[in-house]
Amino acid sequence: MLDGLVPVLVSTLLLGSMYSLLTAGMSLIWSTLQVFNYAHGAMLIIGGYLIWTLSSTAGLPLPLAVLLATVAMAGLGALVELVVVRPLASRPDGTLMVMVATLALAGLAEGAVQLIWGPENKQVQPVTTATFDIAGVAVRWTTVLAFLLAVGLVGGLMLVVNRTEWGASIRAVAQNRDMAMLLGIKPGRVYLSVFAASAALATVGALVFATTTTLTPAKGSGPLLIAFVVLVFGGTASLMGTLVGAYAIGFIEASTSYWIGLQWSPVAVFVLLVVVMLVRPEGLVRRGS
Amino acid sequence: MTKYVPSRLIRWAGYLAIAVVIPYVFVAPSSRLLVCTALIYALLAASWNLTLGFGGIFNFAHAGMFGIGGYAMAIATLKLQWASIPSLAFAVLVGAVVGGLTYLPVIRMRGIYIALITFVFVQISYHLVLALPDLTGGSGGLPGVPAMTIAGQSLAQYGGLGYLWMLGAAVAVLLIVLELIMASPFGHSLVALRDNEQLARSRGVNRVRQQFIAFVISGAMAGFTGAMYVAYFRVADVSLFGFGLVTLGLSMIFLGGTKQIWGPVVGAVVITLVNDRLTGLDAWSPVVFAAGTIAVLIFAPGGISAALTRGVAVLRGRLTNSGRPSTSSQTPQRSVEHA
Repeated sequence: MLDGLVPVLVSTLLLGSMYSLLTAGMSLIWSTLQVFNYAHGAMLIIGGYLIWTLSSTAGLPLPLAVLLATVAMAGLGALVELVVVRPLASRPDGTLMVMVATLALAGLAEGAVQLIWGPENKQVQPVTTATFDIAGVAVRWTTVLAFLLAVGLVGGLMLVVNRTEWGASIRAVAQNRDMAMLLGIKPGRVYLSVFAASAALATVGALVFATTTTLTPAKGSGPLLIAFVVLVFGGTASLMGTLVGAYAIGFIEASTSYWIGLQWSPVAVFVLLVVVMLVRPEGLVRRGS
Repeated sequence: MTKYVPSRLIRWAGYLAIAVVIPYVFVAPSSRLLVCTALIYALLAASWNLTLGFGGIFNFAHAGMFGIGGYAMAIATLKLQWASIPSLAFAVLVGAVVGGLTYLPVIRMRGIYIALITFVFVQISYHLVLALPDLTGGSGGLPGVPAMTIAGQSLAQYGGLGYLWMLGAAVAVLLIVLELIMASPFGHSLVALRDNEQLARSRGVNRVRQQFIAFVISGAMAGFTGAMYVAYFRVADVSLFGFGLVTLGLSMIFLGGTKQIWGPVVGAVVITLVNDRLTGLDAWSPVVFAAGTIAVLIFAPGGISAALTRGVAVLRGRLTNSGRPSTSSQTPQRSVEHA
């Protein structure tokens, strides 16, 4: 039983990094707009394909490709907010409308990806394939890199949200939208920036995703659902909770896949989610300020 | 209230008459396939609207209850070798039980969390089907479900005549049943809970009990619909729990409109027809379909049924008030989903 511990922990590190990058953006959107973006998984997939095109087809070095893709995806995220979310969010039944619209958007994105990149598997070549040994298990350096990226970016986002003026306006809109407007904060701008940041983070998550597994147009739903689970697990509106939740879910997924069987791992994760929601609807990690 | 009874009876007779006539209007096999598909989706969307539209509960699990009903039908007929009617009853029962079970985690939740947990329920169903291949056939599904037979007659003979009648009658009966439910004290309490939960509870409405009953009823309806789907298409597979079906059902409901009982039926028929036209576009069809759905959500709040009722109200106003628009047409009924 214990001989599997190192591979499970390494796998946890990789999965948790990917999930935290993906979920941080959803948490940001949730805390300001109180909606779930069902198209977030599709954003990850589009980001992954963009990185693939820029690095494999256009031949750019991977870091530059990721940077360009991130900028492009931030633009796309802002576009989604402007075109799809903004007209619906202010309606009396806006919460439901935004969810249905983003669900449709996920379908649209899947079709569009299929049209642009075709149904074949694509994989992004990692920056390095070098490994090092921990207790006889070969660990990729890219796993460490993914961990550093996730903790660095999500940690950086926490700093930005807590320390900068932009962060203050996000928190203000999240806490009291009307009061924030009285103070001259434009909620529209906050929503726009939050969607852009969320898509940008998902694109970095896509780098981890696309180098460790293959991309197909329909693959967005898996990561999206895991992001939901992480969000609930960590407490929907807290970035710290997101980070902790992401690695916790990563561990549960890695350990159930290793010890019980691959097909049972999603069932275990979802059943756990139901239990958490029943016992602590506010999430396991206590909400900070 | 008594003065509405005749018009209501006429409308119900109309529903049944349409159900009887349908097979004579649509004779070609391809158009019959299309009509049966539309009717099945009409059942799905109209029963879904009981919890989603009238209950105001963000229930995404209806697609899961539909899928489980379908699998119950396939397992009863293929694994247990039951006849059609007991299998159908089994599927309805399973749907009702699953509907009740689904409500349990929802009890403590409000609004958006319900959307999340009910969506997760569909995903658990999907992964359970894959994890239990002995029972469900895994990713291959359960093909070869026998055609439904009633009193020794296969519904598939004479070009699916039996299916057309059965599905048409089912839609008509469902509309009548939903109308009766919504006119009953139970229906009123459901709407009251949606519009103002505090007030409804202070007037003695038990939220958990009423919404639980709504989930059981809509679960039974979903189970029936799933069973009919599987009996018609003769296969149960994991696509019953797919992302696509949830999106499809929701677009039908919102295109048709949630405020009228018949709204989702209109939405289902329109979307089935549009989807059929779009198949020629191949890969473009999901893109066009999704873009259309988003456009309807943004530009036509309330959907087709709201537009129709508004139009009828304007016409009535013209007829009775000789040109003066009636007040009801200017204030389309909008209800606040979350107080």
